[in-house]
Amino acid sequence: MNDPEKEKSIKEGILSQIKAGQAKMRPKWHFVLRAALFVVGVFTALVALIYVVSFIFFVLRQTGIWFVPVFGFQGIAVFLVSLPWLLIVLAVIFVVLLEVLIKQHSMAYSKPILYSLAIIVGLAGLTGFAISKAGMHEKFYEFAQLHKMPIADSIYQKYGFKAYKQVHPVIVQEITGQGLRVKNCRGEVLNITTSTETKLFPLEIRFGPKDRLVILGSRSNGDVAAIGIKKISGYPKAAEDCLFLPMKHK
Amino acid sequence: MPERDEEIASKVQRGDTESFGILVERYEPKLMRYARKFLSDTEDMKDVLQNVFLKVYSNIQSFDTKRKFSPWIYRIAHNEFVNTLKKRKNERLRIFDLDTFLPYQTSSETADGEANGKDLKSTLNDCLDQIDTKYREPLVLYYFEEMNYKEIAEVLHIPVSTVGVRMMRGKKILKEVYRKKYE
Repeated sequence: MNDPEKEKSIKEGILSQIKAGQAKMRPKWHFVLRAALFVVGVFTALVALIYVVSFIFFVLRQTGIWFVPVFGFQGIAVFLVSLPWLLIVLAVIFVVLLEVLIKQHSMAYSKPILYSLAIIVGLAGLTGFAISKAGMHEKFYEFAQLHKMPIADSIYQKYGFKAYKQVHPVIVQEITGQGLRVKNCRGEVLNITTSTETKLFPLEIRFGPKDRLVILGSRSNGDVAAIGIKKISGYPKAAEDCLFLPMKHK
Repeated sequence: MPERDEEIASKVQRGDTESFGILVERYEPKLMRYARKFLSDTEDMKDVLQNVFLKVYSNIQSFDTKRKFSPWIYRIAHNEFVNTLKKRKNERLRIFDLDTFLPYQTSSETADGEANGKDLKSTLNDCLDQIDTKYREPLVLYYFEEMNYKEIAEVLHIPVSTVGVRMMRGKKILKEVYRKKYE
């Protein structure tokens, strides 16, 4: 049983500390400010996450990686190996940060982590995808080439202009007897040879000059034996003269 | 009719510091009991409890008077006890609990018969220090502090379904510990 004297002394000890000013009540504005900082923190982390996700989608389309899974197992393997893993890890870090932040709120901690994680990933994925289609990164890419973005231009140039050995985003120059003569955004001319096993998307496709394609196949000097060819359409206006914006060298 | 805790807290927020003494009187025995079950008897409970009440006073303006006061003060006590355990250095810091990740299909509260509850309470008293904090705490809050699962979830900042899972696992562990001790 508790000693009443001891109980009294705890209460009186606390009240005397309060009266002496040793124990202070934090003012309401402290908690309002904390809540505001929390909101700013969540918003910033969310915006950063959406930006990184949209940039990942941009990079995947810019380099042609986005289109290769349609070519089957080989395409999927190339896709997985070529993903921008550093950017993906960065996105995961932002997801974890957001999860840690929102778990402070009763709406989040009262539900299993899986639910809030699904909402964060879903929201970031959908919004990031929508933003990547809007042309923002293409504009930033142009600025990067003109060196108008001091910090970001090296990132855009590094990721947006990355060339892969087996993925070739190109524009058709002419149809030849063996296949196609195409040009990539480095200005290189490639000879594409097709066979009966080359997968075409859409099926029964007819190629013509200025068609934009993504080709899966190994390159040997200026020749590519096409495993798959996919025609691309519906790109933003900024990429009119080249599907994938040409790199202007310094 | 005695004033509700939430009304008293509201008075304290408006500057009536004497009213805080009423809250201390009401919660000191409960939190002392909770502290003794959560920590071991070797801890200086008075110091720990004083820190709890000082933190309650310091943060009283963050309390939403539209919510229940009890889970709020127990949450502060829980955090203080966890910090005390961390200082012991023999308690592992748990950043992420797997049982809060997935939803669980457990009933929100199991209907222990009154006799069952009394037996379990006495067993719990006997074997508390041999159960991991993770399972000890919900059992203590349920059987000694007579909180429901929703209130326990508020104190521990975990989903209600996780409370159910920890209660179920905690009882299983408790029975095993008791069996080993007395067989």
